[in-house]
Amino acid sequence: MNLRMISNQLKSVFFFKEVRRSFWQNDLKSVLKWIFNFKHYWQFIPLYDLKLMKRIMRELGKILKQKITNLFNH
Amino acid sequence: MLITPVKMRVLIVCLENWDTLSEIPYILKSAGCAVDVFCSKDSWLLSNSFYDNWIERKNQQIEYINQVEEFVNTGDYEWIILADDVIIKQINESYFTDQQLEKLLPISNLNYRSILSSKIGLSNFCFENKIASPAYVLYNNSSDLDNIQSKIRFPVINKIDFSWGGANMFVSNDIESFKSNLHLLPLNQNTMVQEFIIGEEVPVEALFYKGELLEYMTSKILVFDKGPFSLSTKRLYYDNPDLKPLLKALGKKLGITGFANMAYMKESSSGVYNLIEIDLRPNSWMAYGKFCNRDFSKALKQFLNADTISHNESKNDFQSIEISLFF
Repeated sequence: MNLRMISNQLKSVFFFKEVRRSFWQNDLKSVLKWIFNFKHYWQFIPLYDLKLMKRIMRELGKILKQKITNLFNH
Repeated sequence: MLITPVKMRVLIVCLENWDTLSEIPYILKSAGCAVDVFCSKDSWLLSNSFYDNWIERKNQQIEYINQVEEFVNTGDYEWIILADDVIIKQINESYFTDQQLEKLLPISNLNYRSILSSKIGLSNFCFENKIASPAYVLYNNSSDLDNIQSKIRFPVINKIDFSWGGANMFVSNDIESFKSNLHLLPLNQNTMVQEFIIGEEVPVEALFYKGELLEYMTSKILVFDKGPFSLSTKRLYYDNPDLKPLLKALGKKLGITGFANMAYMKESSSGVYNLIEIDLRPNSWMAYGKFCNRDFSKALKQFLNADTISHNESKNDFQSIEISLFF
């Protein structure tokens, strides 16, 4: 049984879209949850597929770069 | 070297560049399928390690529809998955014969084709088949306002007939609030104005094959991407056995083959589950079933194993020999 399966309920977080949302909405708290593996968040990262991970990191990198550029332009 | 027998040859067809599809080849591959993908070179479908062959989709609609027709006619694939709303709509409205459509569309009962890519079609199907679903009227222009005020109960929610991701949706508690947001609605596009059920929304991901429900999972949305009605990024998954008979009956009635993502609204006052949405295509959450003991790969694998056994028993010698070669 999965570690996060409690009383037949499981909180599931979609890695790419949740991190992307956190970037877009400046939700630092959610980003930190991913960094520190809050409640086993890392299990939802698709590490089983490096090709997919590369694409996800590339897309997130683009958003992050845009955020940083905007920060310096202001 | 261990050679895994191929249970089924599957083709995933994608027109739009949706990121929801990147883990679908993994589900199918883990179930023992050979997976080919048909998409453009930039598609997310190519951003994974689990497909076998990429077939490049041509740019012009007439060209790629012809390519799809060729896939059906050659019979190389036992299962063709139309994986986004636009391609489902285009195939549904194309010149294909019923025989070709039965192999392509996610439903085999072609009498109910109107549910594909049409919210109005889904509502009409529900009313005709006594499936609980909220009442609606259509909005085209200001002459429809009297109808909206008199024929349905507020609050209401409006939906553009062919749309996804919550585009232009809003809830109005009374006619005045509806009128104040009219500038958001297109004119003469048959916008659906539907009673908004007060209760709990239950998103459902399900997998059907030949009308049989193989697996499903139910959840509660915790975080939306860009506000209510947009896609969700965090969910709470739980068991909901109440929905099983409803899903089984729906699968049989429509003859669904494929992934389905649906939404029910459980009315607080009556406890009735109202079907409010059905999209017969994969979504991002399906790969997450493995975390809550709702593994779609396992379910498909089990089904295909059972199907292979019954196939072997019922088919003639030649076909039996062909299958045994895999082992």
